[in-house]
Amino acid sequence: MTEPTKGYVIVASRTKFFYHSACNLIESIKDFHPDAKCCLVTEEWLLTDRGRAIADDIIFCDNHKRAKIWGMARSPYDLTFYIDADTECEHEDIATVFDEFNGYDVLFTGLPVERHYCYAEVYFPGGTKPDGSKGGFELCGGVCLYDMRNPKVREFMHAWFDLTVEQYAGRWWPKKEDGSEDLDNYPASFKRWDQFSLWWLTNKDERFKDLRVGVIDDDARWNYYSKYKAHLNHNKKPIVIRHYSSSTAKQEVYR
Amino acid sequence: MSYEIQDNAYWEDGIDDRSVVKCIRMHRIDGGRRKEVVTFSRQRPDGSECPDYKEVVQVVGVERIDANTTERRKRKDMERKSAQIKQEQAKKTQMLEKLFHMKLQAFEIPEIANSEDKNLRTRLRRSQNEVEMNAYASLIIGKELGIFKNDGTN
Repeated sequence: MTEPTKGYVIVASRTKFFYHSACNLIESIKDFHPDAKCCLVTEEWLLTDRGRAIADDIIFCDNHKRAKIWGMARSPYDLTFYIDADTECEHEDIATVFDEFNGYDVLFTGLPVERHYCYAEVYFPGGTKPDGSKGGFELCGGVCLYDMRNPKVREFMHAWFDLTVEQYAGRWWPKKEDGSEDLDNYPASFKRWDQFSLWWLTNKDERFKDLRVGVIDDDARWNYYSKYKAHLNHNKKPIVIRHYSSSTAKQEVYR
Repeated sequence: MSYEIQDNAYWEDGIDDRSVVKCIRMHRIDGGRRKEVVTFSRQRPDGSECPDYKEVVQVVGVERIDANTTERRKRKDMERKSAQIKQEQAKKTQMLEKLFHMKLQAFEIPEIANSEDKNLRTRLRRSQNEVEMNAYASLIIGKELGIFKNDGTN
């Protein structure tokens, strides 16, 4: 049996900030893992010599706010680790991420209670657990480890993009029995958030009920938000990916 | 009396001789309640004993006021430390984010973007602060412009 191909997918669309961040991320991955295969998904107008020199594969995407999911669904690698562009690699364990599947098909990082301070909205009525306890988003899409050899995973990635496009365009939202939008259970504030389409597919869509979706072990180290409070020790082992998710900072430098 | 002294009275901060007490008095006015935070010294300016101070000490008790004071000082100390940690954390986050954006800008400088010195590029990317980052950026630019030579001489 041939070994599966392994690689990293980074998507940079719409702004130079994401493009330059993506180039920086790829170089930082290769600093620690020189043999790493990296696929840069970007818009043609953004591509420079730097991008051409460092990316092993280049895929052109459209100017869509969720080009991220479009790019994830088109990974050229069997085992893929998608990473948000506005991050940086800090540790050699980046090479070992493909050992983290632990029987799952798709893995994300989590949104445990102790890290809720970092996220605007987590709970919503429609996410209430069967036992009546509060429920909501439990997965964070900043990074994603997935096995593209599994047709169900491919289908899932395409479905996630398709549903997000419909959601952003205002053509899809959960309905009440009377056919109107169910904004009581699913707040309107989620309408421009791909986190919600991810939640819907992993919790409500029958097609993916057998898909094994999980959270990477010691997940904080694989997507460590710069706003995490270090003294709370969210990560057990050293940080591998640090996430600079600051909208004000993004606007400050690049448009 | 038309008010009730709350039992959380404590000795004023920074004074350890029990000479100043601080408490809350709840007044009943027209069916409602009004909160009054008051501080009393044992002695009035003319040297006479302050009846309000005496009243608070009698109602709440010295032991209780001592215990409240100890508990309050511990809590305030914890709050101060916690606020300090939060402030330091916020500062560090801000510094890291700023550094990240400065690095992105540095890699837009043609001499740095086109440099093939992987070692220096990596060092620049791993810089821990602005000074270190600027130093490596200068080295790369200097080398690319031929100001510095590879053997370290100039």
